[in-house]
Amino acid sequence: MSFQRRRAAGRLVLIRPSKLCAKLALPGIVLMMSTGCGGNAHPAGPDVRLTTEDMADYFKTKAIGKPGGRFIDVTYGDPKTFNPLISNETSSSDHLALVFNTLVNRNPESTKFEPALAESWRSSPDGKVWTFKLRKGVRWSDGQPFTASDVVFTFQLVYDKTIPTTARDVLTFAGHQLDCRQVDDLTVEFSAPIRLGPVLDAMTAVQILPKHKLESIWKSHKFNQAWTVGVNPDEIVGTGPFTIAKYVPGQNISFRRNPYHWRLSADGAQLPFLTGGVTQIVPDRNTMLLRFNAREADYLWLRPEDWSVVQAGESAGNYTAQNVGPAWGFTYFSFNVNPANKNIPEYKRAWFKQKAFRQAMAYALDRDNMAQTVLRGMGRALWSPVSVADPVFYNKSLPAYPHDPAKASALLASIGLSHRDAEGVLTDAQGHRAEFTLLTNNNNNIRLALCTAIQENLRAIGVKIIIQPTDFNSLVARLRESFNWETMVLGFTGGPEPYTGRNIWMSSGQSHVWWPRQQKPGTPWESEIDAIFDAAASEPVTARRKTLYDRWQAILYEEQPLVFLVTEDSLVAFRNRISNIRPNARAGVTLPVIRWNSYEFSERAGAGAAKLRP
Amino acid sequence: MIRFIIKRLLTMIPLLIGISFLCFAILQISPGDYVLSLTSGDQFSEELRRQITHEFGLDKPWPIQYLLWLGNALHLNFGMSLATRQPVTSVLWERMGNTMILSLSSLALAWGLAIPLGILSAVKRNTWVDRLNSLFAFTWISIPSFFVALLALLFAQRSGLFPVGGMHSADVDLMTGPEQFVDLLRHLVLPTLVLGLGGCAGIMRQMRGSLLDTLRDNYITAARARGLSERKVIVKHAVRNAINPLITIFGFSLAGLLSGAALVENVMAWPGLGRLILESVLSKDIYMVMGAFMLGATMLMLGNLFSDILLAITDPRIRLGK
Repeated sequence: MSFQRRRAAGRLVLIRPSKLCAKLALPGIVLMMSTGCGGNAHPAGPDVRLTTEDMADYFKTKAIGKPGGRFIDVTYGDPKTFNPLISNETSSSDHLALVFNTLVNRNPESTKFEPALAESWRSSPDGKVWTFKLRKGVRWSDGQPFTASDVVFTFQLVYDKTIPTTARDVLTFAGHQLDCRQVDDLTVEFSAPIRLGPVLDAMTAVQILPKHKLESIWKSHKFNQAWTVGVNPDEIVGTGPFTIAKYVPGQNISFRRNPYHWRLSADGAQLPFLTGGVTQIVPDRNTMLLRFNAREADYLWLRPEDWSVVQAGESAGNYTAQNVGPAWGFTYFSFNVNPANKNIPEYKRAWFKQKAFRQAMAYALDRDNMAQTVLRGMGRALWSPVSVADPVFYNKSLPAYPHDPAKASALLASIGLSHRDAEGVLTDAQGHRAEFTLLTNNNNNIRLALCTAIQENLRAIGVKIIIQPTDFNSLVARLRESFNWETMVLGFTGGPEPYTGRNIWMSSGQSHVWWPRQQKPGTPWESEIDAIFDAAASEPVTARRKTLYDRWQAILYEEQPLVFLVTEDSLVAFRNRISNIRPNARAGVTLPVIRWNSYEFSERAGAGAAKLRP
Repeated sequence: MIRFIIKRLLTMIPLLIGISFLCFAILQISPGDYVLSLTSGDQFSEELRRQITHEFGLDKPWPIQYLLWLGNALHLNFGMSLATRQPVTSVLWERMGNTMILSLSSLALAWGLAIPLGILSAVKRNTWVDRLNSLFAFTWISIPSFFVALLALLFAQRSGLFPVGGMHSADVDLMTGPEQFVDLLRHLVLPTLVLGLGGCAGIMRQMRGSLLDTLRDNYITAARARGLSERKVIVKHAVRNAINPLITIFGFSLAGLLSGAALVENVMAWPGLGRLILESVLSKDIYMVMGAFMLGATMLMLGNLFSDILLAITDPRIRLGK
């Protein structure tokens, strides 16, 4: 604390707006209110100039651009909170990613870790202690210095049981929480009683919060109500490229350049280039697209059905339409073997429990056709939960599951499903029909179309599917509480590190679709997967984790508890008005796909200016 | 009159309590709850779910939850939105003005057009004027409003004459006061037309039908026989009597002032209450929904009361409170 005060008193000079607008050259930081001088109604923040000495330790990017301008974009829904720890959905986190930073970043282009608020890190020889060296000279957007105490404070919040945050689960390794200790002002040490595995990946999920703004709120037990969307945005202090300037519910969120951001352009100028941005809230996808066409938005993501129209208008509209390839997510078709489901007849559960049945389903499906028709060619077939976009963990040795109805029929015959009744539906010796209900959420057209494709593929081998499109809330209730379903089509968002999906894959996980929260693994292969994930929790070496995850993918490939269907490509369009837009589908887990590098965005002179004022 | 109003206002209280009970029960009986809808992702642990459920009091039996809610509501505390952790009243208040602007402008357009057109249609019955009006009315009644809204936006984008939805431009913060006002008016034109013309069609048919009934009455024939000018017969005698049922409708449409038009607001990105309510219902943000429903129910009753008072003023045969 004394350090902070000394630093603030010695280096930070604040000049109130002077009526004469005299320019004062002072060493250190000069703070001027640009609006005070009249004439400039721009909603930019205070004009802060850091000296080269201040920025000596800042992160130099390859970005080239010129200062000025704003981004104007669209989003689907209102943010629910500006509190990064409480936020649960992308309508909040997409904005907070511009305002806050993590210790470590995963660069979506290289998928490698790169320094962010931490400049470097190392682990002890036994792998139980990880030390992070923080970047020197970083300041919060209100000018206060960023130190190790902010990091320790953030981890106190993460592990505070009264705060409802998903980060706590991410930062728990095989049941152990991290002990976070401040070594000095710029060094933090994390330790645990076990060798720690994917620590860096977990760090990309925790945005560091300012102790000086939140500590007293937390101590008075009001953290959960802190930084709601109704708060004065000046209170929300981050280290990211932008700060929130204003939020008008149902209309827009405006951002302002953070004058203290810690990234530099290729020629050493402080980033971001833009002075701010406006995100308009447009709840309807068609309206979003119209607004982009009317040049009232700089970029947006597209649905497969928008693609051909948008692509056709590329040159006339002076924008770029781009298929940025598959993201981390996947859709699956699964079968309920949970004994808690009393509504499903025992013979059906017995079928679902047999590997031959599940493999038959996998062989019966024509995934390439699904990608071609349902996704209009903007996606691809899947047979692993790891995205083909993953250069590290994707198991390349597993061949594509072929569309082979004959083999599917043979497999079904091997478990006694060989007779067809008058309707052409397979029956077993007791006359039980192979007829199942298929649940999916009714507000996702792509999933509904996938269900229809499954229905047709399975009809060909004599399995009858009755599609039940269901309201999302009641679907989740059936998935999580009553377990009352037979088969289901749903999806997960996935991610670059399979360990973050352990709640799906471990038999004790609450998202272990086919039979969640098992006391002990129901099958030998589930118990092997449990062991793999426990081993991964304490395996820091990527190559060895890859060996573990290769085996895990091979087990899933053989057992087919989830029959993977397709993955959608991310489609985007962006105006050429702004340079350095490089949408990346792999950003999509902790960062927004298009504006993950908003700090590099720069306005291009004379390239189809926006209709709106810059 | 004042006694009548007080009596009516007092009877609203038990009625509102009854409505609130029904709404709460329906919300609770339908499957799922707010926290459950969050847990579809893979990172939401069971422990966290139980924790939030407990924090929001959703783990209590619903009749208890209702009594707790009712106790607070009687003190005008409508609780906290589960999604944003903000007081329900402040969230409703933020959106109320936006909805009010749109509903007042479209209400004015609808009634301003419907009454004269309805009268014209009735007077010129079975002429081309009437047929044209009917064609217009039936077209608007039969096309869903959200589709008209989408067409209007397509028109806006193609012609460039109007902004594509929303209530303000993205650069509104750079505008001066008068510029902001003009910006708002430009954004208001299309949603007003969509909602106003849609509402106008129905009212026009009502006006036409009601006036036709009146024109068949004996006293109209008598008035004509006494040589009154046709204008006087229509305006002073027929319309004044024919308008009674429309006043009741007017009361009901006042109730719609604050309930918003969810579909049109959604398509046209108008930041109104309708959109908010729709989002809250879908995410099962129950206290938000309850707050909005109570607001809607109160407006409906006040609208009814208002139309009863109007009726008493226009029709001397009606005496209130007797």
